[in-house]
Amino acid sequence: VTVRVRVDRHRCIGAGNCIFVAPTAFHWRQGEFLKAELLDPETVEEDVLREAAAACPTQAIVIEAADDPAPWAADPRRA
Amino acid sequence: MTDEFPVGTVTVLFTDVEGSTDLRTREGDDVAQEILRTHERLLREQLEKHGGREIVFLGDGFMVAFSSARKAINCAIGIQRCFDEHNRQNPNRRIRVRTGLNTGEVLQESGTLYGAAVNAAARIAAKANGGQILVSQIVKELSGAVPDFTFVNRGLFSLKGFATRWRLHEVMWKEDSERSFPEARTSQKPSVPATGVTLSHAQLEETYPRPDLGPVVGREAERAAIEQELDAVLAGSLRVVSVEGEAGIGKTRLIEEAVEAAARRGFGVVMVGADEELRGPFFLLRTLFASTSMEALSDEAMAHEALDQARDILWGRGDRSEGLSPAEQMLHVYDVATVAIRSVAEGRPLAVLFDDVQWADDDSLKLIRYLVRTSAFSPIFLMTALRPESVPATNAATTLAVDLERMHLARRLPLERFTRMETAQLLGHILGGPVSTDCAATLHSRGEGVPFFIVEFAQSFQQAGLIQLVDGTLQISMATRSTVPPSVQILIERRLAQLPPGTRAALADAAVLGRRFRATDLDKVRARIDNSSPTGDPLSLLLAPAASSSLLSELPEGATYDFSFTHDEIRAALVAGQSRQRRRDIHAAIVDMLSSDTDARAALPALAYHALKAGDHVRGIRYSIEAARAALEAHAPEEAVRVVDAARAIASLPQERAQLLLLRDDALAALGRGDERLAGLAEMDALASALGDPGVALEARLRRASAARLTGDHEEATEVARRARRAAEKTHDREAELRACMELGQALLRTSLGESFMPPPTEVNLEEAAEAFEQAAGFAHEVGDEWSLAAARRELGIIENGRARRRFLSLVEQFPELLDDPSADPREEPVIKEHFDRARRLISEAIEGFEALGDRRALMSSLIALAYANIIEDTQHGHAGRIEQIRRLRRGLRRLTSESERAESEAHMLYSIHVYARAHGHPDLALHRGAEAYEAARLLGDRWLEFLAAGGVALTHISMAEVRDAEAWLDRASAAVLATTGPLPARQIEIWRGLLRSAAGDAQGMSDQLQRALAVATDRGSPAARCEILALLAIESVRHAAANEDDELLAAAQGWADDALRLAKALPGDLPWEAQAHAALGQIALARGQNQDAERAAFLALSTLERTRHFYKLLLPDILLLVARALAYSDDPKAHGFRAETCRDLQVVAQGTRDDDVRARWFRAPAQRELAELVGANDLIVQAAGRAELPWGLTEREAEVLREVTSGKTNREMAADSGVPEEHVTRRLDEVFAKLGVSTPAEATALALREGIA
Repeated sequence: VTVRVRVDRHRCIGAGNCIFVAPTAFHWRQGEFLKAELLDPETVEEDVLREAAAACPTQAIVIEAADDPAPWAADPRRA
Repeated sequence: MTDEFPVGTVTVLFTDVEGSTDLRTREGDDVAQEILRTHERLLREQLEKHGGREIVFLGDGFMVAFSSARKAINCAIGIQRCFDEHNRQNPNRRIRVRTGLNTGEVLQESGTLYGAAVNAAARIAAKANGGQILVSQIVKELSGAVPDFTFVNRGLFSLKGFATRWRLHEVMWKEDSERSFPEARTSQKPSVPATGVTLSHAQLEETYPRPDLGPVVGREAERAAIEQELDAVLAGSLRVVSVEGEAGIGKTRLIEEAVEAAARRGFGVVMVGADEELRGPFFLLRTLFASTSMEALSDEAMAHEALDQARDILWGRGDRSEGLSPAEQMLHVYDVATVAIRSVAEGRPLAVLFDDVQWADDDSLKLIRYLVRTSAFSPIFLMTALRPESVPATNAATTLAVDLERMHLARRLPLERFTRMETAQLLGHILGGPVSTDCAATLHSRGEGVPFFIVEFAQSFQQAGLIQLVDGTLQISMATRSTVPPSVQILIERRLAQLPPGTRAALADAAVLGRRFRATDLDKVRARIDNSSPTGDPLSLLLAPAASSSLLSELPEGATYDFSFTHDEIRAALVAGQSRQRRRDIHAAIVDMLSSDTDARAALPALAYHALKAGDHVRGIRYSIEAARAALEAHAPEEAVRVVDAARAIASLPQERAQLLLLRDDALAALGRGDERLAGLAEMDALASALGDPGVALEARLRRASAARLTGDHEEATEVARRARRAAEKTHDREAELRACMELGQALLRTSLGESFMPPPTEVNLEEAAEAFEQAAGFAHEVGDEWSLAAARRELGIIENGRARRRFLSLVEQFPELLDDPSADPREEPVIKEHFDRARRLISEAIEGFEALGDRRALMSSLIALAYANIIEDTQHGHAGRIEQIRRLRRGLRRLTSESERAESEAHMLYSIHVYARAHGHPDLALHRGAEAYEAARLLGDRWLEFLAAGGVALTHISMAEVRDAEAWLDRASAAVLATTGPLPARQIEIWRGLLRSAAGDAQGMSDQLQRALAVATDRGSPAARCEILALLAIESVRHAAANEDDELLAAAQGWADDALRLAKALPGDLPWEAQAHAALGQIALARGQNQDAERAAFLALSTLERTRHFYKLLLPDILLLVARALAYSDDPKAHGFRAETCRDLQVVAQGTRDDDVRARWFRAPAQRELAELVGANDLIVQAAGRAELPWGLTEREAEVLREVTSGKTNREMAADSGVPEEHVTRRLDEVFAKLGVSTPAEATALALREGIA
């Protein structure tokens, strides 16, 4: 997968849509209620990650590709 | 004159006497009359002589038809020669005739001809000057292979009434015409403005196909690929083709071929080229947007507004008042330009061809990438020609081609060298006859299979007389072969050496100016160096030999430049041959001229470039700094980095270096290149100590903190920010302290201002961040910095959001049961409430501040923060409304940067609400928002979202057992999926169809579809998808197997369930699929009468489900139903608990579903009904279902009465309960009984129970 995905927890409100769509890629953050966290994005295709991002009401799932039109947003360590 | 009236394909000649309208006023009526009569007589003579059919005579012009193009040209030449002769004899009665020819299909009606071909001929004649013959391309081609006529390509012309531009050729009819060009209108360049220097390094002109190229040799596959992609664009999608290959391999030739192919298909075509010597912010894209073709196309598409907006923003004139960060502004620029290109393509399909992209500026390339990524369904054809060997492998253009190919967005066509066969074919074309094998082999090896080299060698061999026609075949002379130069570079040099010395010198000077240049610029530069006055016109004459030996090509009328070197190799050879001093002199002269220009700002990149090339370091660095600043203002940070890096190599003064580093850091910040920033800032730190300037030192430190934060190194960011704050404290400079506090607060919050809404208290140091922002607010107040004050308040507000959340987390830790108590609202807890109150107050103050300042972005971001202030455990209470609010606000925020995403954002918002609703048991919201999302996605052309939304709505219908509706929505999803690609849609459609078959009672169909989906998932190696499908197969199969007593299916279901469980164990996460599999196994055990096993499996399913539903209620009725069946007779306390909880969940659904109709339908679905019965929620079903359509046409009140009856109440009791007279009750009961067709309460009760009303 050429994309990097991350959950911006400053935006996340724990609607859980990402977990509903892709329970192997996202789960609830340990020690925090109602904030999602990345689990294993490699278990699903990029399309599924995009579906999860589309389904997030607060746009807290950020998909960044090395080849994105906005490469300034790419930041491996934030993932 | 022939009597035969030509029809079908005809060559049409138009003639027109130049200046005939003012002939009368100039010469008087009589003379004018006589002149025109002479004209008429002479012309008719010629028509008769050449077999032209006069169609119309207009007094001063004719329309004539010919059956042959050659005849028509001969006639036109005859006319011109005849008038030439006349003029020589009658110098006072000169008649000058314009002639224009075109060939095409014509229609004949009432003695005249009609058709586009006729109109075009008239327009072509109008483009001619007196004494000139202009013909269209087709006429030239039809005139025969034997060169009886001499044509000169005059370039592309817009003809009134025609969308595409026409290539026109002039027929040279004077005997000596090849040497001295007649004063044709087309060869006159627009006059150069008298004031200012026009050395137009600030802009580039679109390029045009080179004149007089023979047919393309070889490249069949590439040409077919291009045609295929063009057709794909016509079918409605964006396509990119990248042609790649070494110099001279024929990339430009192929581009020119694509221009023709696109024009044939009715595309609007624009061709632009990058230039090695010319750079500037968005240089390539500015060239595109400034082109006359783009202007003409926008006329057609009525896209002027979008185009003007794009121009403003690309030239750095855009509105910058919105408080966007540099990175966001850059995105905004991309977006506006993209919207403009898309709007132009709405008129008709657009083909944009970029030549020499290896020289393109990186900002433009990024914009092109953005265009490609965001305009998949616009009819746009993009083609780039790239010379990979001239640039490093990591060059932006190369990366772009590779990336786009990997994303399946571009087709790369690497051009190989010619085979010997192709060489022979090419030689046949240029040399004009069959070529001997030996000759082909020699030239092939000399030219190394590179077409341009082969042509060069062939022509030079031919000129040297080494190629001769022997027995009808072109043979090469073996004896003299050794006299031919070994390489094409030397060959070019020899060709150049053959030019007159003056021409060569002028050409060499021109080469320093660039690939394309203006004669006047060259003239001025030379005059300046040689201390003479500009010579003016003779320069064109000086360059004429270079043009006629096709080293130079003349650019058409209206172009910014006059000349272009025909090949970059030629220019490179010239520059290499120029002395270093002369080159420097030229560069210096250019700088002198440009700097005296009134619009020096536009020429800054050129000034910087030439000053550095001239070895003028002082001015070079000064201009570089200004150019970098201008590039930043134009949101072209890549260009800024390039300019700074060129200057940095020679800048030695610390002050200059610091300035350059600062600009570079701004650019890198906009580009988000944190690591590079940190390296540059380390140098700046060192410079600060060298300069002993605390201001520079603080600046460097604050920037380092921010760079570290953006690279995710929060510890480092915090540490540096703390040090910066201590240093600032010592200065007692309040503004410095304010900046340091703001930076420290951001470092501690780990986000930039305005980016956080609900900081996660477990990750962030809320207390120290609050302290920093409180200080900042104080300083901001002190120095009167309203913006910083508002920003600090907003951050303090969201810190309160975080504190409220922290309190909630600690409460739940102490009292976990809080989470299971639906009556508890944590927002009412005093401490949480206080935090939220404070958050709302602070954010409201910030909103007021931003509103007064007019910072829309900060305003939006604060409004969203306000919406977050109250969100806790939202999902338990089903506050979809609040989520919608946030999403809506966020859309407003996005709109500021992204014009094109305005609608997209709306569609996504609707879709996210739909998913939320589907997961949490709001069937009404799921249906409505899903359908709205589908409509929004359709309007937007977002097929992917259209597909997802349609599928989601179908699933909602399936959950209500509404097969026909579900089917209609699945058809919509299928229609959308045709246009999308990727494994997900294919698999998803199979799954959804499988579930639909299942709901329709078709077990076989269900299992077929789902197994197909399984095969797709297995092929793609997606373990998560396989697990999901296996679980679905298991759970859907057992439902049918149990109902139909199908043991075979039951056994298969067991296998699938086991497989699903095995896979689930290997996968991370708490998976609902695991619960589904357990539930299925429970059902299987139940069917086999193994009640204990069934119960055990049901409990396993439940505990898995509990984990899955951790902290939020995911409503999965299919699992719950099977569990309920298995536990129906269980006395286990856990079973009681399950039943009670499920009752509550169903209650939540009933209460949360506001649409009466949908609620009734959802509860009436067999699965939900059975579930409700099994858990003892019958009354709920009655309530929920009752409010919608009722059987027997009962009204809601009548149904209520019926329910009372079935509960065993007497008429008197009912009357007492509702406070109405007993007769009223009796009368209403009679009506109900009548509708039911019964006469006693017992009968009514029985019926009511059967229909589920009771």
